[in-house]
Amino acid sequence: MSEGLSIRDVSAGYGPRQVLHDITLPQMHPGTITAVVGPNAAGKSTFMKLLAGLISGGGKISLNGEAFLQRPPSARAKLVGYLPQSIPGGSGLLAYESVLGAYRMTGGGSDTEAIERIFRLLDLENVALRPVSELSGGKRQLVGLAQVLVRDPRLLLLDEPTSALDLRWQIEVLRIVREVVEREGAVALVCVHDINLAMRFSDMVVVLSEGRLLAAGPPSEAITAETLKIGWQVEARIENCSLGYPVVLADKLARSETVIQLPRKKLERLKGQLREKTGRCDD
Amino acid sequence: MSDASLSFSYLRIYRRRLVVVSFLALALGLSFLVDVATGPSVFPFGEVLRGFFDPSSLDRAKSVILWEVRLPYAIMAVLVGAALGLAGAEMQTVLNNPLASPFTLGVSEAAAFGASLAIVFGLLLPAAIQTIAVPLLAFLTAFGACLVIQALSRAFGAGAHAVILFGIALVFVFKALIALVQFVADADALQQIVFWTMGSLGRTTWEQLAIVACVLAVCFPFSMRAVWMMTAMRTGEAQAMSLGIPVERLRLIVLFRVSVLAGVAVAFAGSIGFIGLVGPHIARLSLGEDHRLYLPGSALAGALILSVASIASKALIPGIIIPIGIVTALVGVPLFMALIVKQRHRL
Repeated sequence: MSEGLSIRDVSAGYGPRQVLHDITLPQMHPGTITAVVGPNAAGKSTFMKLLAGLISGGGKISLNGEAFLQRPPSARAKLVGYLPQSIPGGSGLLAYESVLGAYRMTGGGSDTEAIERIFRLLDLENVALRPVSELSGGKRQLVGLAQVLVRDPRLLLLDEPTSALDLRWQIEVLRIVREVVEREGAVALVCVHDINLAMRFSDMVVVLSEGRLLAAGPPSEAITAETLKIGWQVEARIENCSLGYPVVLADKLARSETVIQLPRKKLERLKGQLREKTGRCDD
Repeated sequence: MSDASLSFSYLRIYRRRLVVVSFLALALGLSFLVDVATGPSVFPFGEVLRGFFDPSSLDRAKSVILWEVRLPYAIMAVLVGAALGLAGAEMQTVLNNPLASPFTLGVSEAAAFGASLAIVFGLLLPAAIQTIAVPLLAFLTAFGACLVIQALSRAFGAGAHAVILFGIALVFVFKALIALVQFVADADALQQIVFWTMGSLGRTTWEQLAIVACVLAVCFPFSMRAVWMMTAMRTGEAQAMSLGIPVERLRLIVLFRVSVLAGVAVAFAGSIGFIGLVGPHIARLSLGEDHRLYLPGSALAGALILSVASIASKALIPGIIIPIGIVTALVGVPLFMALIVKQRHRL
């Protein structure tokens, strides 16, 4: 049985509009974090929704050898924890109640120790008894994360979990996710816009662009000057900071003609180089 | 806050809310008694209470007033209020819209149209069948209206304001259809339809009470079975789906339940507005949105408002019973506008 998350030839979309095209990724092992990055409208959120079972698509997706998307939704919910990109702000539920609801819906009993542990872990105890609608965007995002973590899922799908957080909590949240996946042997896929954060906290980076896979592999191999140029249309360098983490330094926007009007042969050569480095580069 | 105190602190809040629910129930009990004791004919409170436990202690006229007029009237106010409060609360949750209610989205009007059809075309039926035909057609048209609202909302990815606009459009459509039915109706049927459009509890019978009570008794446990799903719905549709909740199916089931509740309420009490809107808001303000308390709280609040409205309908002009729909509309419109102003940032 292959351990971890396996994704092969995956496609998905909304009605007739196909968003994701034939995505195959290297195996994602238990205890690892995979960052999903890409420019706007790359299909990152669609990819997460597909894995969460919120939309249907084609291809083979399995977790520890099981095609978990075939499970009934209630059984799947015990396995997969999904944090959507936007957390509704209008709920009059107390933060504690919204986590309690998630806990009870996924088989949690009357023992509330798990809920208290999560609130402690995310430093949310002071806002636990306040309505979600009165919390800041960042706190709401943390409550959303608490709803995911309280279920002890085997697969964590976090769509922009740090978008509303300050710098300290961006690092803190990814550190907590790292701690949880390593302790539980879970697999985490995290969508982030901040490439530096992605490179720092992930074991593998997946780069999507226009619904196709641009690169996938260890951070230093997937994020290169070429990927940044093709995916984001920026001229950038990657250097190591004083702590040894790779950091992207964007110099300027790539001139549109150098990207969009790349000669076919040059584009193929760039993609060939990427394929050699990362093992994968779809059209 | 220490770890041990978090669950305990929440439990304290929950218990406090339970006390609020108890107060609502107590207030409803008192309101019910006052409602029974109020009316055009003089009927001392002590005599009413004695009549409850020992009907033979009353003379025939008072016995008829108590058992055939006031009690059915007061019980119907409680049952219809509870049905509309519960329907409104469930509707607001599944449509994620604080302004949703059977009245604002045209469901009550649709039910009134169904009831009108049953009256006009069912007058030739035996009375017993007609008693069933009216709520049945009211339910079918109410459910049809719910499906139309849901389909329009989905088709256009409508936000809260658009759903309300669809509802207003439906209100006008069904008003026009009711007018058409009135146009072709004979004098008897026309009189009955006019009674419906005003909303009145004045012609309540024990058979009708039994039907409304049965519907409520069947629907309420189903509502309570879904409290965790409904609570999770308040955390957002995507989150709810990821929790394994079949959102579309739940929405359809709830709208079916709302149609039954609103249909039967409108069929026997006419078009009574704003209870399904204001009841849930009172419950939300005092009990929060944990549906374990929010749903029963909405039903209780709805019942209490209609019971108080029933007292007001008899007390405002001595000797005259104003149709209760007029009272709820007069009180409900300012409340509705206040809610819109309060919700303006979310629309």
